[in-house]
Amino acid sequence: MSEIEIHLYGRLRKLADNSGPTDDSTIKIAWKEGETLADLVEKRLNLSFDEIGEIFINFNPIMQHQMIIPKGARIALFEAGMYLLCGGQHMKGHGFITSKSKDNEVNYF
Amino acid sequence: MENKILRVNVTDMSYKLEDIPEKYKLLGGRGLTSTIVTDEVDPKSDPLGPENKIVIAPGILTGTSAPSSGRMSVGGKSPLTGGIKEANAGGLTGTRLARLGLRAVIIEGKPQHNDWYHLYISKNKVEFIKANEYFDMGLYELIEKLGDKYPNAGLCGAGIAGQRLSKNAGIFGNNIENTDPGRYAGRGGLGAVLGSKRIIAVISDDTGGERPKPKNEELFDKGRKKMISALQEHAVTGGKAGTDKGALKNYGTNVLMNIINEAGALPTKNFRSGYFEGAKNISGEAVHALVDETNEKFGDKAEGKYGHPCHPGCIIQCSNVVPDKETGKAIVSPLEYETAWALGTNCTIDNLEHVAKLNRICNDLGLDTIEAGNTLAMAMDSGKIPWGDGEVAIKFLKKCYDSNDKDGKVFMQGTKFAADTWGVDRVPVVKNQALPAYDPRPIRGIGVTYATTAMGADHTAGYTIAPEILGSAGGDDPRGPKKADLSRAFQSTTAYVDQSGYCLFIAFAILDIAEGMEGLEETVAGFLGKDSYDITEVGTKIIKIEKEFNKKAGFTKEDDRLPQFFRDEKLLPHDVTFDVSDEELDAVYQNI
Repeated sequence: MSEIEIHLYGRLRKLADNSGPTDDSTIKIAWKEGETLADLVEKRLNLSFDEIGEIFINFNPIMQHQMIIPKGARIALFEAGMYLLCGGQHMKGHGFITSKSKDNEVNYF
Repeated sequence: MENKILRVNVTDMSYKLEDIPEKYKLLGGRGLTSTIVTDEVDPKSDPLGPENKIVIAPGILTGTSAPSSGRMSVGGKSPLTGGIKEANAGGLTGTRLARLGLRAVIIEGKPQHNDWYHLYISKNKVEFIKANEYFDMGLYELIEKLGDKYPNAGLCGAGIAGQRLSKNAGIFGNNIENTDPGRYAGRGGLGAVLGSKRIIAVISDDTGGERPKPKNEELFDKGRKKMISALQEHAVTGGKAGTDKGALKNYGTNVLMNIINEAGALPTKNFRSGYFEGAKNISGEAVHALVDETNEKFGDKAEGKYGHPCHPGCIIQCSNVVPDKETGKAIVSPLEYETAWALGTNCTIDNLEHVAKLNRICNDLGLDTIEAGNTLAMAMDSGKIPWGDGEVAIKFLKKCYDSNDKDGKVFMQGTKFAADTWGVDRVPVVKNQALPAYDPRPIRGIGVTYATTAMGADHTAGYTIAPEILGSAGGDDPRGPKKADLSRAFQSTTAYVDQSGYCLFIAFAILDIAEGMEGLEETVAGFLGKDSYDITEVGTKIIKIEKEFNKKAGFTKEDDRLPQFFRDEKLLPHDVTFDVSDEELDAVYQNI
């Protein structure tokens, strides 16, 4: 059975057993073919996107919630308010900070 | 005093107050420092000679009641890069100078004597105070002594590194509580320029001074309220420390440590990887937890903090105080992301206490931490000291206190000099200034800015603010080949914010919230008494004169390049090189 690995930061660490700020707060769950990020977050993790800030899949910032989760993905979820700042914003430009309506997935701005 | 420039000549130890010329009236901060340097300093002059000048200028709104607007700029010709330099900081000096009615302080000339002086500036007098006993003194001791004599004064100046004319000497600044000299206008070696004038500290005492008055108070106040509202509303800049709202107030800029790591763009072991396993141990979350732990353990005696302002009137409050786990006493304030990266991740040191202590030593010596961290990595790359050993790194950095120590002397001259001396060939510098904490291979846009800004590699030179503000900048496809346009737009807008006195972190509120942008425009226009203020035009003028200064100093497009290894070596986990063409880099400053 293939798994995905979810790395949690900020207050989202509480979802993992090892939830201290200097721990690897990670959960591993089964990969589902065709599952979207939205389904994973809202249905399996029972989280709202309002609770989440930056999202990365395989080290790429993700803005599109309908993205299909790839097999064996490494996903990072940060608490609301934890976003790419300063030079990091170049990875996705600005205007995505509070609005997640844009369709751009990954870019090297 | 109102709207005055204080011109201090250290050759004959004189000073005069000048009315601000008409052409400078709408300028402040970086706009003013860069314009004065361009007008008055020969680009080919010796940075440590009599022709160079130090210009200290509060931002346009610094000292007013506009929120988070207390920044100041320090400018001059950089001994590190050989080009024009502006370094920006919070602290107290900007606000104090503004409330004394000073738009800028220009320090010029070259002393004919061997004494050291402080420059004392107050409402009724300007005075040179002999300060030989402060020479070679650590800055924690120095600010404590000066704080006893001049309570509540703004302090900035040259530490040990600057007094020894070292190219990695920053301009220190005291914090609000006068407990740490860590409010640095750090980059480019401007501390050495001040040291060459034999000035140790500029003491600004605003007793009896007044808050600068807007020309159109109604418009200014309308904008001020909008800016406060937008900053408080935004998820990044708002919230409250200790609650689940407000990333900067809870984790500071070092919130980025884990985020950039997950972006695969955290330069590790002298830019060999984009991911650092130990990042979590020195992250903003780790500092937050340590503060909570020591507060609980030591109660009122605990000194750790987050949600700490870097200057009076800051409502973003991204600063912190890192406590000692065993005593609860402060080690250093602040520990910023860039510093934790440079002294930690880039050297593969993942012990928070060691990183905080390295930061404190840099603050004490008067060193820029980004440059110092990169220089430490050169020492590690050369085999002089091992990677990842914080205790050894601390011992090595302390060599800088001994003016006769060869390693210490080399260290304080910066990354490039150290690499050349110690035989290292992977040297992450542009225009001799070391790169900050974002790898340009996966984040190519910041690489374009590192390469092309007149400042040398600088993450604050092209803040990602612009495309939606500047209609022509971005185009519709952010993946399209328009990085030159974007970088130029970012650099222009950043230059504008730097001149306003606002902190760069207002970027979130002004872009994402409509009334934030209105607040920016209305506070600046209201203060200056203008109907409107063209952000693009003003910012572009600033970066244009800076670039022209560098051209006259001898820089060519060949200086606008990243080191070759960024093109040759792929960075994991993205497995990419920096592949922006030279033509695109050259296009950034074409036709402006």
